[in-house]
Amino acid sequence: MKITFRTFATFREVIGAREMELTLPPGEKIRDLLENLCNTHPGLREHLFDAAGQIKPYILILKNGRSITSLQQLDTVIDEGDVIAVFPPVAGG
Amino acid sequence: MITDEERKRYARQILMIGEAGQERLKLARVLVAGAGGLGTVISLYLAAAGVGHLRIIDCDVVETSNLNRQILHWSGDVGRPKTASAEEKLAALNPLIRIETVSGRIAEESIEEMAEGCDLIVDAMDNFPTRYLLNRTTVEKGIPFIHGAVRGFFGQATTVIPGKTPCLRCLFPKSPPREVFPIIGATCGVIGAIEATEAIKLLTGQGEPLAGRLFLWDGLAGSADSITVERDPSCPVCGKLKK
Repeated sequence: MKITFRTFATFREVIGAREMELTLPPGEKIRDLLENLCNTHPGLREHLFDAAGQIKPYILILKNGRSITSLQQLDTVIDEGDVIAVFPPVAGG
Repeated sequence: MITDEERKRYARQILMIGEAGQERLKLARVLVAGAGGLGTVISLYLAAAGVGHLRIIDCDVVETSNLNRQILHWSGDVGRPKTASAEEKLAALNPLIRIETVSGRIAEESIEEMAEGCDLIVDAMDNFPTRYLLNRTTVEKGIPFIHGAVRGFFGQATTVIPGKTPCLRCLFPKSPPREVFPIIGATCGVIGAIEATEAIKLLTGQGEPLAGRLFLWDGLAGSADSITVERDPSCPVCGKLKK
């Protein structure tokens, strides 16, 4: 199945692309997608995960505009045509 | 009714929004929450545009390290309350509007009174706990909340319309960590101007607000994006509001 992966801010720098079209096996979860990307993009892991190996809680991962925290977190299943976006929100003013 | 003096001052924008739109701005009461990097940009543009009543809240005094970005505060203002410094410049810019300043901390016990009578709240805070408080207040009052935040060359903005769009809690369930954030003034300029534009659009009924869209600015790449965002039906703040 084909999906679109979009990156922003520091993730864009690490991934080296604003948007990627990816072909994934059916049933792939967000966790699998991120793990595979971490293996192919050095530096991504430290931006996504804390020292304990947990995803940093404030990192925004959206499936079709909806935060995965309101879905099944990292176990959220990716579907054909999904747009997955990863974004580190900023807080300054 | 707008006066001849107002007609002359706002002539170039009346070409866009008409006298009726200008009158809507004149009758509006807007809360700008913060008089720092974002707040000075937002309040400058809203004052210049003729928003009739600006309520500006901040609890800090001007520090030297603020001067790279907080454009209403100048070298001679160091040590003064930010509200006094901002009020002086805004009143000099536009003596036809009312500027109300509140030197105090936005907190659980003060927010109700601070937001009283406002048509919308514009976020110019530097932390998420206070933003969550503003967000909840706007959801309870059913008024729009214009969110903006910055760090370094990056920024984000969105407009929350309670019951119709995701609220700040839907979008950002967890607060980014507190830090002394790096920032260049121009990033505040970009996001503050976006927020001021959103306020003017909402007040005059023009255009498409950033409702249900998260605007993302990447100053390093020189690119702007927006992502469509959805409400969280189980959101503890707005989940019970009907669509």
